[in-house]
Amino acid sequence: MRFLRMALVHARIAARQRALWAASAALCLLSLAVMVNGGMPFESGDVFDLAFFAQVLAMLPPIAYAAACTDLASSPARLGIGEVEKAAPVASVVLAAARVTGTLAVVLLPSLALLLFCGFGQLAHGNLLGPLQALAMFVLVVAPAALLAAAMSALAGAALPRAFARIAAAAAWLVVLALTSFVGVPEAGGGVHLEIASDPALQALFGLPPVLNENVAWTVAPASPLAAFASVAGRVAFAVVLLAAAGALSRARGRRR
Amino acid sequence: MNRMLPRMAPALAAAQLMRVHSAGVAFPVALGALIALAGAAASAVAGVPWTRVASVAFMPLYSLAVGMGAVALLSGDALVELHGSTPIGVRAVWTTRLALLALAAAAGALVMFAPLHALGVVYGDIGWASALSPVGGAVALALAAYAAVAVLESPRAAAFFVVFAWMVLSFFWDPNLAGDPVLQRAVPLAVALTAAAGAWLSLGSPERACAKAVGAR
Repeated sequence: MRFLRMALVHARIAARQRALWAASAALCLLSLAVMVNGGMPFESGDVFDLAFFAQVLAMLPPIAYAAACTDLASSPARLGIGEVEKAAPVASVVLAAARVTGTLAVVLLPSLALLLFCGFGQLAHGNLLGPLQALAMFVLVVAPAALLAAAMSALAGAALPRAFARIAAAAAWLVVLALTSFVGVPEAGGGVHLEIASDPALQALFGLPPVLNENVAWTVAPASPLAAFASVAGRVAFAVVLLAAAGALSRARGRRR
Repeated sequence: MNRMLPRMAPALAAAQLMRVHSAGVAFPVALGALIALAGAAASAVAGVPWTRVASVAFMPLYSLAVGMGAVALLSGDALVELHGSTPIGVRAVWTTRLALLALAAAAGALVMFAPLHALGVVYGDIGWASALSPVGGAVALALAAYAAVAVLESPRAAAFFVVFAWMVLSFFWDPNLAGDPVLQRAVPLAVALTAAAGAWLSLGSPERACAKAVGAR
């Protein structure tokens, strides 16, 4: 209960900045606009379109989260209130987790709202499980990606000087995207075609093809439920490790000052 | 306008150069050289056609780096009240800093473009006029960062906004106008200059400037 109350305080601090709401909503609408050539997810009954939108939401807006959240772990040391936080009767790990959770909850609300809107649109077009699928995609794909981007950003903000932290975090997230989200599909005439790989959790839950392109016939075994669980849990665990490292690094540097 | 400003301008520029020389001037030029080197190495290893397609992915990263560096250098300064209490004022200091950053960004973009153009690996290359594309993009994002920092309330919101502007520019605007660098850059530069002019007017009030991301938030 105490953790939720602390996270709510940080959420209220983040919610006061109207510019954050506007920028976050604009990023989510931009992710929707990427799909304007294919089918929009709220005017079809196919879960494939909803999954495509969820994956774009997990790839593009986190570039902004990676660039913007560099002060998540280092703000107490930078503001000089590190000693006050250490004197509190709560563990500093819990304080840091409440700060990250509260801020991310506000930043992710437009994504959740837009995904649920598309889910209800799919409900109107025949997909009876639309809203539930949208919620599941948010919890399994969008939120871990945002958490990982924010964690990378916090580590960059704690380790690097302020002028380079934002670029380094955004570049690191783009490198992670390039390495994990794209897969080379062998073409009929030789050569390799780059396609977006579908998320293992979505493959296991909703039976998606291995790449996010229905016109590609690539016979590869779909991801097993174990691989799906490992992918989601691995991302969250990696993000937690990065956040702990960022907190430890910023506390060590604050002590040296 | 401040009558002291023309006499103080060289000293003002020198002071701001000392403040931003490593991250604002040396870093963009070094990054441009690094991207050019990476492009040259890729064209030697993987061949020119593949590198030309890959340059679509690498060249916009330069303007993102310029935008992020501009947000980091223009925001969070603890001396805003001090600048506002001198006859020079907050606005002149911030505009000088922006001018230095924009010049360095343009120079770095040219350093990045010239070797890649000589090797023929720039996508949609129509000669030296294509240099307008990276130069204009970097300057537009620096201006957008200036506008964002002067109008929004925290560096986090300014970073969000600059990444959004970069995404609109690189993913939606540029690929549709790849063969026409003049139109491709005229509209974004016009929008960015308008936003920067609005920010310049807003910075005229030092009390308002101290409450925005230019200060120590």
